[in-house]
Amino acid sequence: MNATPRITPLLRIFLALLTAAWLAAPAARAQLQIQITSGVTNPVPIAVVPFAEAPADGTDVADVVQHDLVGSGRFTELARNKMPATPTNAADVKFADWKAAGSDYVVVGQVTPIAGGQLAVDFNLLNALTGQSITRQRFTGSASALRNAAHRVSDVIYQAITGIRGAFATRIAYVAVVGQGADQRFQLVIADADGYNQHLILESRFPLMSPAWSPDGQWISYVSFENHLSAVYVQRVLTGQRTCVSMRAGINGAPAWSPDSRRLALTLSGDSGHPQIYILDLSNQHLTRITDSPAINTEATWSPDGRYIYFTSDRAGEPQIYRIGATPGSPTQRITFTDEYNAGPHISADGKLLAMVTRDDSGSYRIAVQNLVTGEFKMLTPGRLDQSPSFAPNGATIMYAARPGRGQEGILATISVDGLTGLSLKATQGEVRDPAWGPFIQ
Amino acid sequence: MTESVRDRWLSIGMSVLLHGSLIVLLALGWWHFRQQSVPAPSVPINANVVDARTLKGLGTASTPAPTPKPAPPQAQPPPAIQPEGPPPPTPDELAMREQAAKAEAEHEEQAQRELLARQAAAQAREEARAKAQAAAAQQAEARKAEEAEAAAQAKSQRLAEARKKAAAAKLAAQKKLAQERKLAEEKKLAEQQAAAERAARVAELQQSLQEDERAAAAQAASGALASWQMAVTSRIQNAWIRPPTAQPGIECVLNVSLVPGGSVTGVSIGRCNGDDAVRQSIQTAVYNASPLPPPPNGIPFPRQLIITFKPTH
Amino acid sequence: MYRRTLVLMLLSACLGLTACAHHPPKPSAEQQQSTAGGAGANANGAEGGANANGGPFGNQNSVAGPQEGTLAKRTIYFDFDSAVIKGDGTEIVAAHAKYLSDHADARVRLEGNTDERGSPEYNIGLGMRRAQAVRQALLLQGASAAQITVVSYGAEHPVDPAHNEDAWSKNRRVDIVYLTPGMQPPQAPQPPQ
Repeated sequence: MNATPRITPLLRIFLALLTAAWLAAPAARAQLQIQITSGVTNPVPIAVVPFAEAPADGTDVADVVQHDLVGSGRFTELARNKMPATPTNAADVKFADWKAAGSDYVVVGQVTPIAGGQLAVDFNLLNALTGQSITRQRFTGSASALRNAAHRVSDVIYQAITGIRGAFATRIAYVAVVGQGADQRFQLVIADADGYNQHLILESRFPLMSPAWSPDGQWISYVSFENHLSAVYVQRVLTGQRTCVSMRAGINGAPAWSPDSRRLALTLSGDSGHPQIYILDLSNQHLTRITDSPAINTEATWSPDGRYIYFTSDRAGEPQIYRIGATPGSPTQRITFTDEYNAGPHISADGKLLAMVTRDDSGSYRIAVQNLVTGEFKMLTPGRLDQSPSFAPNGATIMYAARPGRGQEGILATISVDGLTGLSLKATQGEVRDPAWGPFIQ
Repeated sequence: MTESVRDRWLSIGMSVLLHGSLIVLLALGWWHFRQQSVPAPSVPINANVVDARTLKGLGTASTPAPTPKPAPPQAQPPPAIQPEGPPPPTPDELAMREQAAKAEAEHEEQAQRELLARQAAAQAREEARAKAQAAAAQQAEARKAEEAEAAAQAKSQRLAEARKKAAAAKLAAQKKLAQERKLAEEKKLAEQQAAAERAARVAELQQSLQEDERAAAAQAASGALASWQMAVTSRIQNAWIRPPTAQPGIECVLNVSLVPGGSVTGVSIGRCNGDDAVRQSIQTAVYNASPLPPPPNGIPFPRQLIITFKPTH
Repeated sequence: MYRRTLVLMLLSACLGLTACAHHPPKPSAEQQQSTAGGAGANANGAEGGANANGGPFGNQNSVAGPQEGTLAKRTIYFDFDSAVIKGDGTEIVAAHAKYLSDHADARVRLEGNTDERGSPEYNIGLGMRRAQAVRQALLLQGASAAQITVVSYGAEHPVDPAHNEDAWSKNRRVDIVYLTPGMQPPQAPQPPQ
């Protein structure tokens, strides 16, 4: 009779606890689910803090990086006079201050001399909101290559935040025309993608045009009129050694390297024929004709898989862009249907976008882009005398030749592929034209 | 009175059951809180990338123009024959050309103006859209706040009733058990077994009562909750700067820890098929959206959010 | 390995050239393959006196040529986007055709040009269309094919670099340039048909 009173209260407590536990559980386990299906495409706010500089040639690495990132259109900068501090390594960064200043990301770094007279560029890309380092790298090189190191820093930052490989540490080739009359000279120039570090690789008293980079960036092909007649040359960039690959009667023009570097597309016409697209096999000099239409067919550009050639043809009256297989007898397909004049095609490295020169209804020549997947056509530049579009190897920007206004000489400019951000390149003497954007540097 | 063997086993059994269930509950709770974790700090990468050829640029020559080959004696160029231009323009043509020139100049200006206007229009549209979104969000919030209040009142009433019901049932069950325990004194083994069975049944009853109560509460709160979810979603969407690689097909889950004020204290990435740029962007978005808007009255601030980033276009 | 293959290919291209270096009867000044030390190269074109063969087309240097009457006019103008010889052009062509047919050793180079608007290589095509139109007209009126070389400079060789219709109308032209008489340039191989 004594055991029972002991057990009953115990059982009651047990049951009460059990009930209480089940009552309390839902509140602790409540987890809310949120689905995010869209975002915004504003530029990303980033602060590039001046690097601790070694006394050098005056290259401001942080300034080069900032100019690269902002010029791409995908970033906005924090002005130096608005920076809360000037740290040069991650440990000194007070993240709350940078977040308060409006920056999502902060770049800090140093330039320090190292053995052998070289310089080391160290940088750290930090997320000001999570307080974490995203990436930290070092680039070393000579003092004269400091700009190049800065561009490589930009490439890393650009890729870390946009997912797209940066194309800041690449080169361009273009034609410059200096002087007048008997003193006029035509020059083939190679420079950094921002127009700095120009190197003259050919000078002639006769016109030069249509520079084209080989896919590995070691060769440039171009058209030269040095015999009063046109010829296509191939020149090794580092040594200047050049070879003539075609000097036939009539037109020799519009060289374009195949993606596998084995073939060169050319435009040839003979004395009396229409200009047609040919493919020259560089290994055996075998020449194959691809197009066969009583019209002007020129300006070949290869698809990235090497199977197709996009080109300009006025077989329909005015020039439009067409596509043909890179083997003889392939069918031709018309690509552009917007506006009356589409020429100068250049295809992006992923094969999805085609840049071109378009003449709009007012007679203005402008750079436009057609999406080869969706068919969407978009005008990018205001014109009025734009020409020669060339894609950056990452497909995010297009360089072209512009004549900004009456009385002003031709310049080179870039436009982002969404049409929102444009830049002019560093001014140079004389007129510049015919830009060709080189490949990624391995 | 001495303890019988059966009494001892009964007491041991009860003791084990009691302690066991406590341990189980503790384990559940620990497993549950284990899901919150702070992201581990990343190891900085120290890469030495040296590419001497590239960094040196094209050869060592920094002065561009090489000396041109000395030109051998030039043949006299032919006397310049003045090219006779096209027939001089007639006054009509001149007038037309002037007009054309004027029209060109106008056109250039207009093109510039148009471009500026288009850019301004695009900007205005963006601002208008942002304003409209904000206004709509505000309106929605206000409306939902009203609804929430009304729903909350109804909910608290129903909760009180449900609680009374549960308490009454609990008491009834306890009384029932007490009676059965008294009966078991006489036939201890059989009664203990029956008691054990009934204890299990009581637990089941408790559980189903709890589920009913939870369902009722959820239904009442769903309106207010949904509107708060929308407010949070909208805030994060406006803060998410989407990198180009965040395309449809990407799906990333973030476990977000909150404190009652709505501030985000920690973020960890769960299942995610996006690249590093996507991962950075979603973390940045959630921190930029912090502190989150407060939920309507009656709903406690959840300590954890599960945010799934899944762009649809 | 990649680069080496490319170098080998291009070296074999040098050797196997059929369309470039040619062997005219007289020793020619080597100017096809100029290797530049360092970073630059120069292409000065065929220079020298009347006897030097500067390249596969012989001496492409111009001479004064006939100056009487209409023959002094050497330029034919064209409308925008057109290769139709108009107005004065017909007479000029006729005059030069007669001269060419009367003087079998006369040689001309027809240089086609366009205004600066539009895509550069397409303009090369337009300029060639104009030059070929003049060539055809000359042939029809008595000249022979061996007397005529055609080239197109497209928009690269304007006479007036201004950016207005006045300048553009002056640039849309074909120039007739007289070359050393009697020159027998080996015809450059035509592209295979």
